[in-house]
Amino acid sequence: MKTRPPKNALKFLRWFCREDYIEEIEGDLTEVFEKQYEQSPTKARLKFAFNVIKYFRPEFIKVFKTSSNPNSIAMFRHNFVLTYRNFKRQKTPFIINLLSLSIGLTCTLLIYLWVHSELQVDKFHEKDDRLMLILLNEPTSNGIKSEPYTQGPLAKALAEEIPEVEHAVSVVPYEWFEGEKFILSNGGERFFTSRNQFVSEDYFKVFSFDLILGNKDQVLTDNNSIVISEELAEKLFNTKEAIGRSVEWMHNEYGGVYNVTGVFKAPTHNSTIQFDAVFNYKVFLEANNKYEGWENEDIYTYIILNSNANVDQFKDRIKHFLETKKEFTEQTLLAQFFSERYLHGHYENGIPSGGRIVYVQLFSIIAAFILVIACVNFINMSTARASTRMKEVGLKKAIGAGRNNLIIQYITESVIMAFISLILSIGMVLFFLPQFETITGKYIVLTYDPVLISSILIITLLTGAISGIYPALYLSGFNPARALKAKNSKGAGGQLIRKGLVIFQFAISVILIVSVIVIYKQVEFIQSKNLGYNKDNIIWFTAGVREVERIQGNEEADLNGEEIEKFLQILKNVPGVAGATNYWHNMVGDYGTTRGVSWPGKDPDVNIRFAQISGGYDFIETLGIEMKEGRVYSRDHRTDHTRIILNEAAVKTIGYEDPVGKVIDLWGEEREIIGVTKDFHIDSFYEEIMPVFIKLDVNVLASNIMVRIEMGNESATIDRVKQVYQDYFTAGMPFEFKFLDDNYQQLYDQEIRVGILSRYAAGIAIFISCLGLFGFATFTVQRRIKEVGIRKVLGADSFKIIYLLTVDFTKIVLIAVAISLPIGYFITARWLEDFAFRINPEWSFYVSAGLLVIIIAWLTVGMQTMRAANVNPTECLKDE
Amino acid sequence: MIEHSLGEFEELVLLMVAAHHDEAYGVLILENLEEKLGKKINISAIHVALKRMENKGFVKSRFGGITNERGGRRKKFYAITALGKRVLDNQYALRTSIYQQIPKISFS
Repeated sequence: MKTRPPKNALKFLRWFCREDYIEEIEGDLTEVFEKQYEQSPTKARLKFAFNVIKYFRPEFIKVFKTSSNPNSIAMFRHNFVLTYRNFKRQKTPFIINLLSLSIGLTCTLLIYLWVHSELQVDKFHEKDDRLMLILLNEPTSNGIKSEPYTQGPLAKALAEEIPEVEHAVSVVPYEWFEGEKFILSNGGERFFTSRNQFVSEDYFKVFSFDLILGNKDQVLTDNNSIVISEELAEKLFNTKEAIGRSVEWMHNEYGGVYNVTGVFKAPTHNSTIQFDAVFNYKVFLEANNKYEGWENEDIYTYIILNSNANVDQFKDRIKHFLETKKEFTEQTLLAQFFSERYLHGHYENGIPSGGRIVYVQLFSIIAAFILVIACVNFINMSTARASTRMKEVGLKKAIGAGRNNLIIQYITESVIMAFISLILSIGMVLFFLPQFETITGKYIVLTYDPVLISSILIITLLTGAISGIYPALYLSGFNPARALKAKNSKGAGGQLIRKGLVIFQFAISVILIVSVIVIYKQVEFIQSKNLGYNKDNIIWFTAGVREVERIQGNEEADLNGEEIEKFLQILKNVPGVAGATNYWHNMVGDYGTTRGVSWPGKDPDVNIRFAQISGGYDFIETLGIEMKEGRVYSRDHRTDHTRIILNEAAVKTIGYEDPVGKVIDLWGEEREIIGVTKDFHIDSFYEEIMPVFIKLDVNVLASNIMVRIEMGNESATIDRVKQVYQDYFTAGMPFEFKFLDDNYQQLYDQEIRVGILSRYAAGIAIFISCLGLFGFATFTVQRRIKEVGIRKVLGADSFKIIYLLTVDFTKIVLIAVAISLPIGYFITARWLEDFAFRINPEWSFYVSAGLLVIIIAWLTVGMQTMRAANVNPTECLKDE
Repeated sequence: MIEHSLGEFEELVLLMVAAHHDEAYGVLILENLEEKLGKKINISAIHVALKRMENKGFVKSRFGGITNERGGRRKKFYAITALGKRVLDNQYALRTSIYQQIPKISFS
């Protein structure tokens, strides 16, 4: 038997090769193939295919006749005309399709814009692909903890000892100061708040914040240099030409006069690092010399890799770097690309796992589902109406149209539909963008960037194709002879697929609704659960600086403590103020942690972290934290600052039976426990309640002031507090306060936003599904109207008719509910699992979601069925 | 002269065509060249060279008769044209003249 070369390769060759060459080339190829075949058949086959591909080049490819064919343009125009006529003739389906597709597209476009801008965050740095953040991994009693807080000398040591590191900088970001407001002045009477950070010299080489005045290499060489943002310069000096001007920082630790050496453009919304002014890191070190050693970790370390460095090698190399610096340590280092941290900011077992990316993925999936739901409407509408177009198909086929032509015609139709919807939805996007920005809390910049535009076009094209492909295949498959036979209006083909699609639509809708209910309940639980303290009606602000101190400088820190005490006394006498205290940490997620607590019998190998809260006298009373036993700090006991108050969790950790009066050791100092509070939340509900100690601090450290205001007339009271503030501190200092409650809300910012977004998504999904159902119902009623007429003539009452027409839909929706509830339960239970404090998903959530959907579906079809049920039989039976 | 340019590989193929006057076709050229050069050559490269030279007028071609070989496809035989021969001669003359200018030094 003669061997033959591979069929497909040959087919391909014959398809593309020039006619005048094909014989020679095919002949030669076959000859080569036959010769090789004798040695190795498989190799010969492969070689043949490979050779064929080698001929796929301009010299050998024939001229394909495409657009030059006048007939295809005519066909295209013809398709356009047909589409137009079809839309015109069938207005209800057209409008339903248009609505659902454009709403679906709008949703998808908005979410796409959001995802697009999420992916851009922090990507603008020039050396983005080499900019890394160093994190510290530390094993604790509940897993490895990964934090960006590293040791002060780390950056310098890395730059000197690790060859891959080009630059390394230490940064003390603004967030480090836990919301403390910094006040800068131009030396005169103008005071402005500013977000300050301390950075080492190479900062502007590592990050691409635009330095508009000043030299990258020199702006931070001096200890008294300050680099400020354009806006701050405008505020302070009414001009951005601020170089050489001096700025005074009113602060107890870092206060002094600084010299402006540079001006930068404020970071855009795309940056997670936000700041108004930068100071030299050395200033920070001088004030906090504990960070000069390797014992305290609190400083952010960023590095730039060499352009040819191997990232994995670098990660391995620094992992155990700390062991060369400290005697005994379990801490390891982890390097993460800085721009990845925004989306991958959660860590498990010392490696990044999840973070915001989860929400990005979640919403991408939701967007895709909503679009598919919209496409399903189109698909159902077109296939359901197949019978009306049967004759068209039959006739076309009879006079010689191929199946391909018909498929192209229908797909053209759906793509045109998609593009008409796109126009509508672009309008909607522009209209809803401001609201969308408020909901997502994200500033979205609309730029005409080609990637964005082309992906929008591709999305639209895909939408058209997805919705068109099934109807096209289905409609074009009719047998012309049967299609043309007049009375064959079965059109029942594809029933199963159609029902399946509707089930899919409603299942997705139910899942979304279940999620909405669960998220809503959990957020409500968070808002209403007793936190162990009363967060309402509390305002807080940073203490100002007194004129006296400004002149005297800051030699005696204790003086300041007394100043704060004095101020608190004045505050308490303000009418409407129920309590006032000073404190350091903010009660909503920011607190210091320390391993420095020990007690007799503590297992030295277990690494237990205590949370530290510093507060003045009245701290516990002002917040309304309940005491379990013992007493609170009191001004009557002069030595209370050497004692300590714990929470219940701390007592449980330590294991004291009768804690009051016993002694623990904090940072090498013995402290007597004078009281135990009931547990209260200092972090989000994702976290268990930690062991906490409350330390008495009436000094510079705890310079935030918290004031509880009596209910009613809050704004008048706040005005009075402001007056007191301005009288007491240097005149002109800005009084900027926040409600503790707002800070608490910010903790759950993402959950609240996700809750709102999913509410919209669910609403839209169910709306589009119902549009489809409505169209479907209209059509069914139209088709069965004669049946209804006959049934009525034969004595069926309205109720029976309604039952007859609704039972099908109800079944479909019920199946959808049955399928989706377990999935919904699974998803929501997973979401809740992350919370340490959470609601139990109750069966009523799921049942009510199911019921809601069924009722909505009934209402949707109800109108149509009612009309059919009340139809006068003579009306519908008279013709024919 | 631009018209009459001849690449290195083209020259080899042209030489082969000339050597097997009127009997040269794709596979024959391929096998002979592979043997002489001692390396694998892709058949498509030979076809490209042949087609280019045919366009330049260096070779002309004719179809052979149908046989049972090669899946019933005819062979296409190539022969060198007068122009092709002249180009080859020029090339050869050029090379020899330059070669002769090499001073007689021992290249040991």
